[in-house]
Amino acid sequence: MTPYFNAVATTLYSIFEGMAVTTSYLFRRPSTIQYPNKLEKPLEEQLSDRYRGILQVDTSVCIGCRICEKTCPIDCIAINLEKNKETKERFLTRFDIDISKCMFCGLCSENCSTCAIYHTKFFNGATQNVDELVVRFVDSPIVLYKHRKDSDPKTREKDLSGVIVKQKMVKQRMKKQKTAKQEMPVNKISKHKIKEEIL
Amino acid sequence: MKGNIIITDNNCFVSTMDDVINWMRKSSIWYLLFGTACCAIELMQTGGPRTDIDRIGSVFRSTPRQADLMIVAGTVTYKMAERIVLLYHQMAEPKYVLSMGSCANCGGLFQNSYSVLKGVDKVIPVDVYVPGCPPRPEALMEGILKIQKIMMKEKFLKNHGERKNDIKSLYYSG
Amino acid sequence: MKENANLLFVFLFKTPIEGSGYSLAWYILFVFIIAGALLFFAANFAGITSFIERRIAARIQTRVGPNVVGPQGILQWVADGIKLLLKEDLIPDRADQFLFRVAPYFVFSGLFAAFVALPFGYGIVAADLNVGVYYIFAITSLVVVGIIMGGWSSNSKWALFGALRSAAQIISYEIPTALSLIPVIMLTGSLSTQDIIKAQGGLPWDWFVFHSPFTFVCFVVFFISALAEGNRIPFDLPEAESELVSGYNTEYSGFRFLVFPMAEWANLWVIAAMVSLTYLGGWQVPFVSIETLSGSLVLIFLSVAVFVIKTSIVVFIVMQLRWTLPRVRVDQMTQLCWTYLVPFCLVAIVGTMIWMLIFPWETRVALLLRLMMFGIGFAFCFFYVRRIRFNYFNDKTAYENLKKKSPWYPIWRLP
Ligand code: SF4
Ligand code: SF4
Ligand code: SF4
Repeated sequence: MTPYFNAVATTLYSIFEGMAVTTSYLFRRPSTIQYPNKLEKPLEEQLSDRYRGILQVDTSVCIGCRICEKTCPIDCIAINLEKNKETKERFLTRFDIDISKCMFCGLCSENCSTCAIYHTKFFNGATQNVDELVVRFVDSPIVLYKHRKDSDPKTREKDLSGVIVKQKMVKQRMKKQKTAKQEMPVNKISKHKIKEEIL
Repeated sequence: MKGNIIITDNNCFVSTMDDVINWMRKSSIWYLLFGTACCAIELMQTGGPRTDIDRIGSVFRSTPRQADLMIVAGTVTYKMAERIVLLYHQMAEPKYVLSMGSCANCGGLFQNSYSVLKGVDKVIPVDVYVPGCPPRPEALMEGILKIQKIMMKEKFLKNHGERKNDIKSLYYSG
Repeated sequence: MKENANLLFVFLFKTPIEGSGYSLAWYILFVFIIAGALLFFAANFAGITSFIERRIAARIQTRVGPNVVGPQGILQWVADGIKLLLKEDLIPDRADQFLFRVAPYFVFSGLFAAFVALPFGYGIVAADLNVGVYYIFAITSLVVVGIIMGGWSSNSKWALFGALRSAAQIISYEIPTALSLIPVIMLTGSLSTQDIIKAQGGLPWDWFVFHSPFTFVCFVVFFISALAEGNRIPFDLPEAESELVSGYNTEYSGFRFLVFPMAEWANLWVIAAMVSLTYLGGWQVPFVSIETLSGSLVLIFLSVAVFVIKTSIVVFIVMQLRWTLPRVRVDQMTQLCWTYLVPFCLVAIVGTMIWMLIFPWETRVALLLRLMMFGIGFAFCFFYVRRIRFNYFNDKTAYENLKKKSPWYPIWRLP
């Protein structure tokens, strides 16, 4: 008989205590950050310093070593280099990162000797077209950076909130819209194939 | 509501009516719980206290019949792809699909795997892609806000609620 | 009913109804007006409660809840409802078309018919039936017929399981519900809802809940089994979304689905109103006798307000229970019913009988005992508030050290 009444007492007491706990939460501050319209301070400032957001390349300090391309386990990065035979100058003609495929592991940015490729705190690349997520960082050939002894690119200021990559993505979207109005939209699957061939 | 005369006139009434209807629809996007891998954890987080997707009226439904939005969260294997197609067809019109994470976008880090579908858009039409591995809860929220924008552009009365799932044409016209 | 119709006719057209020749038409119209008013109330109550519940649930989970749609999200329920109306209406291919279509109407009419016998204030009741409380519990059982029909006709295993669970649950819990009302009926000598309220008093120690320890037990049993009848957590087994996809309404979409949650939230009012009218004194206004109450229109409105406040408090407690407790298992659910609630009820019925014989209601000793019971209840509430305060201050310092701001953010501060 005792376990029977003990069970009743335990049940009632635990419900009572549980109710007291939940009621006390009605008087506490909610922990929601009201993204995106009622933020107390921008979300980028609330993220930790080592947050790995969407990648960005500072092409002005890239030395063209291609380490990032080789170290990426899933081939997200595509780099083309060209050499002017007469002046012996080398150019960066293509630097694409497929952020739709990237897994934000940070291997590329860890190994870049000049910190040209790094993670920003920019995270929302939501889009209606998956091809837009291939970010092209080189519009016209760029002369490669030559590392000088006295300078340390690691102390260089970085655009951590990802303004450049945001602009790049917007620009590409504009361009795509313009071209798409002229030509017929290509079948989705064939587009994918094209992308796979490129990368 | 289906009066063709009013609709073909394309007058003020219909546009405001459309706006009101679209506003109602966008204010209550119920999503189907469809987590297939690690992104699902972040999908659950999005409903949690910090991001609280309930704020914009989105709650989860566990059955496809009552859901408006299918969030494909995670790696899609070939075996699961069949189920995704089935669930997609079980959803009631108008329906939307959001592909969350690199795996659903294009196969992601499993792109060389023998068993993984290279992007969920090969089997069902996708409206919004959210990059990330996994995307932050706020990034997913941004994706849902994007779905709201798509909804606001649609002509609900003209199409009698049916969507042509031709995302490309919608995208390029707007 | 008929007198009220006559009164309204005289009030509107300034002629007595007997001479006008419209009496039959007017009565029919009056019935429709009342039905429309009740329907309006039920639908709006369901909608607004769903919104309020989401806000409260969110605060319990330290979230904010819907606050974007309209000012502070107040239009959320309108948006939800209209969106569901606009969704495609799917009927599965191999479903039983006819049963699938009619099931929501059974659910809805079962609940809506219960509103007919529920009072809202002194003399404000659509039909003061002399079998009021049993009518309500009989008619709400129609809901389970609708649920079984829906679950069976969907031709889906999840829906069928949900329906079967619902059947098992309602059949079990009809018994403690009915038994736990017997003390009230013994004390009143009537089944009419108005009579039950009139037998109680305005002040807390004149409520049936504090009549004796036995009625208090019955009150708790009645509350628990009303929750179970209304499919509220912790007894929402028919639509347990972690086991059965969405229970009996798995295959429903659009408008037909809308009926189910609407009925569920309208049921919340039925549960809360039943609890407050049988055990918590109903619309009785403190310090006002029934004779003075019937004389004045202002006091009648006050009685409505008292009833609505009492019911809202019960609704709030039901909501909070939902977000506090986990769901019970099926075997635990039936075990609770048959090994705890029913025996307790039987003992309490006998106990109340003896109590009534020894201490009749009017005697001084009975009043003293009721006051003592009330004192115990009050002490219980006081202890509850102390526990809430303790829980709040328990985490306060840690929160302040972590976040550098005060955690004080009461529910009436809207984020
Ligand atoms: S973060 Fe990882 S996956 Fe992404 S590009 Fe760099 S190495 Fe490749
Ligand atoms: S980004 Fe860094 S690692 Fe990649 S090619 Fe340029 S310098 Fe080398
Ligand atoms: S995108 Fe990344 S986090 Fe998401 S399922 Fe794939 S591997 Fe997991």
